[in-house]
Amino acid sequence: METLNGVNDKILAKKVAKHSNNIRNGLDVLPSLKYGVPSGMGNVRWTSDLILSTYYQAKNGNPPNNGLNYLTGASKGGFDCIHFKREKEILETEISRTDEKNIDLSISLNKKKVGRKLDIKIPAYGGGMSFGSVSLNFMISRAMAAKELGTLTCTGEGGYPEPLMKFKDHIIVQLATGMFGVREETLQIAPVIEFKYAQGAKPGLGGHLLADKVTAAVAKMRESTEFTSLYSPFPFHSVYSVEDHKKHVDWVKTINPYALVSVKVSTPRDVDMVAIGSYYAGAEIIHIDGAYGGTGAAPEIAKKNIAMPIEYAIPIVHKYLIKEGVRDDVTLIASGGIRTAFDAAKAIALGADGVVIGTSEAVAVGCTHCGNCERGRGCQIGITTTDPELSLFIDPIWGSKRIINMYKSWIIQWRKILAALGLSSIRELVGKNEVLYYKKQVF
Amino acid sequence: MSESIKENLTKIGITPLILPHEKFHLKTRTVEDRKKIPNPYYPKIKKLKLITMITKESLKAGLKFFTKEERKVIFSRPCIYGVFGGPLGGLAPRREYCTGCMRCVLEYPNICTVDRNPEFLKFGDSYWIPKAPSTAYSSPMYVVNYEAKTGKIPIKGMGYKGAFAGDGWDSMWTDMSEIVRPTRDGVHGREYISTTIDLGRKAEFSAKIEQDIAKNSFRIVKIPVPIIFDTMSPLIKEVTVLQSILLASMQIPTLFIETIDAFSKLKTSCDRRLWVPLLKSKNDFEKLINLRYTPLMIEINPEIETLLPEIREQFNKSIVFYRITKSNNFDDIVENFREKIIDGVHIVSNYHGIFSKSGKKQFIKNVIYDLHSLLVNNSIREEITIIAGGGITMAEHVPKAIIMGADAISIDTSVAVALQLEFVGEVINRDHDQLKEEKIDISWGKKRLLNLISSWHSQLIEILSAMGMKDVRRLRGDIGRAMFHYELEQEAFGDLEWR
Repeated sequence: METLNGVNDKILAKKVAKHSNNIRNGLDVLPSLKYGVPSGMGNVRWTSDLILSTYYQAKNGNPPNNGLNYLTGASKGGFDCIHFKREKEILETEISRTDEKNIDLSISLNKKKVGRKLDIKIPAYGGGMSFGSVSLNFMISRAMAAKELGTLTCTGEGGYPEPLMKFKDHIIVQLATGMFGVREETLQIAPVIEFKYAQGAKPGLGGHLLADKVTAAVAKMRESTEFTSLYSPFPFHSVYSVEDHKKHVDWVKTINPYALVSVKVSTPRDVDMVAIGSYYAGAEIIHIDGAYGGTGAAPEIAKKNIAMPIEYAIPIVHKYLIKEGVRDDVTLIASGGIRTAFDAAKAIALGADGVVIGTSEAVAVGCTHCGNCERGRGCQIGITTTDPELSLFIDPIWGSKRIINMYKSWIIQWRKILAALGLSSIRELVGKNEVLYYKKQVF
Repeated sequence: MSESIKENLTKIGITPLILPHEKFHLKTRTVEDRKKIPNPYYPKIKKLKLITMITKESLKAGLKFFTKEERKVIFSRPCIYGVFGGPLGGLAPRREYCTGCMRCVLEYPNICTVDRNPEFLKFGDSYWIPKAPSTAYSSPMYVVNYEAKTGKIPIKGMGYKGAFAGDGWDSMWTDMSEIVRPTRDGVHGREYISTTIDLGRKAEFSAKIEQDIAKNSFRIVKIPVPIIFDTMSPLIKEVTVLQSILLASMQIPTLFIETIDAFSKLKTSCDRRLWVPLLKSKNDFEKLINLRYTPLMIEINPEIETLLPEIREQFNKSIVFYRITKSNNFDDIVENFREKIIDGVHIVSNYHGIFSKSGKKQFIKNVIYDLHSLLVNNSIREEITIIAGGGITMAEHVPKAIIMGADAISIDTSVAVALQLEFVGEVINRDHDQLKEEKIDISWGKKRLLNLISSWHSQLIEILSAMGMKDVRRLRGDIGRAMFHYELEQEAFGDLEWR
């Protein structure tokens, strides 16, 4: 502990050990409801039940059975109003060893007939969270978990810290408008290169990393100045048309012909047209990021008001790709407000091939969804921070175990869903929206 | 030079409050709160348990307790925001620092709890602080206060935390464009995104401008932001508050609607040019004549509609707006416009955005669109101006109101919140609901309002730039730039089973 991240101070190490142990104990105890539900915790999207049930799953690797609602939040819309018709059977289904072997949760990230084939073992991978917006230890935790789970995680737009190199086969390199930390060397080792055109939480506004979080290490990685706010512009200043975008795709394919190209866009009114344009420009993966997605920092006006929630965008894009006759050639990935295994399954039934997860992984290691990520020292738990002391709270091995456990629980739930629906592969669930119903709620 | 440009424009009926080539910018700086808004969170500590825990830790340390290092560890506190940073730590928590991060609860669930602060809930009414403020820092009260204090755009971590959608303004989302022209640069000043709008009667499509000028029927006031201050009477009677609004309107510059009685209490040395007299009676009309002053704009209540021709004749250099607070239909507006009696309409709902139309209560958003559509259908939309007010309390409501068809918006209770005036119960009704009367420092008030408008302007630019728009006038009535909850619900879930 003393030498982690170069911290040698003995007192600091003791303090960190004390508080991180306390936090870990708290994460274990709170979901037991021994002290009741903490009254100030959560909000209507991430209810206290969802937060506590994620803590529970991250510890135990299976869904809670103590009455915590791990299926829906209380936002009165979207996934919270969509339900599986056979929900009762799903929850009661027991999964045998044989079922585990026979139910396939893998998805293909390249459905085209040409190019490198890349399957991931679960229908989810980690979303981009940059070095600077989150701590290095949290990034390593995610990468370790991705490797263990046979899936991927993403650098975000902040460079490729050296400790991630040993997980390179599981790291998506993000190439965003600020080009922070983008190097040909890292593009060349990426299995997937993700163009980030926009982010659901701040569509059309580029990126923000506020000055306090731009420490010396972050500035060095991003080749910028310490403690100076960093703004990624919007849009790519070399892309003002689909043709320009194709040039971009061609450029990265020249640098790394083996990498798959993912295009991450937010969800404007014409998201279907954007998706088809991206496909024709050569992308293997269309990644749509809904308006209610997570972020390290974004204007409040953008989070709530710009672009549509992912629940609406998925079926719109899915149906349009079918209409255009290309749905079987492109992988549609959805993100932005997907909190649970059930949300992910609903997204797939609405038409996505898989999902990208960010906030839930953070909650697995103790995020309380308090929304202080943008502040000076950042996160009190050590997730969205670059503070050398706070970063130590997340031990990568401990963090990765919690993330893996959360996904293990999700895997159980996905298998239960498929078994109850009589499906043997998650791929069969894609666009099968007849298994869902919508229960409209009054605001 | 500047003056000659202004004069030339004025000669042809255009009164620009800032020159066409001037970039709109307000200087802002932090203006501290006059009174502390109650913190949304309220940490509670079980003190006996805390003492017991520290004692146990100290005993466990044994002799090491007497080393400075060990004591530092034992007494190290879980809050990084300073709630326990006082000399007595958790025994006297500094609750105002609590951000609801819950770390103390995670570390010591047997000792600490963090509740919602009931005092925070009491601070505004139900429109300003929703009853379930799970998103305390996103509640209108907190956001507007922050904007008035800092002049900045509120930025927070994590995604959106509120309800999926809602009634009123929350039933729509604005659009964006993935690949836009470089208008985003407008945010950083390399390209200019204009928020200037025109109030008043524009030249008719078929008419020659010269003819319109000659007939005196072409009158425009250009304001640099599509936001004006609405009357606060009778909600606010305090002179210092009105004076602050007037000073802010002069500095922005924008217009300030107020009754003659209220305005007459203000210091006469003030520039009256931006004051829009609100005429409610014949008596008001006569008082205005006696002032021997030609305002840029006059607003009249429907009760004195019959006086319109007379007002028009007396003040033929002013633009005349018709203030509508309820309506059976809007046909008379079309008629009045055709008769060249009015130049614009100011449609005003109650403070919670509810407008009574033909006996039905409708949200202002829909009323704006109805009126806008009526004018479009009558082919007079380009000539007439719509200002909308009531229930427009946050920056996000401005582009939404404009998308629905308003040219500009007027603000009311947002001013009260920016100036930290306390609500007395629910403030809904324009005739009798109340705020606590408080004297304020005029200079402080002015700066708070400048901060508020600057923040809203910056946020309007954010929205425009996300769409790739360089002029707010292009946004007016462009509902293709919005997505509506009901429509998306049908489009996306139409083929699901609804229960």
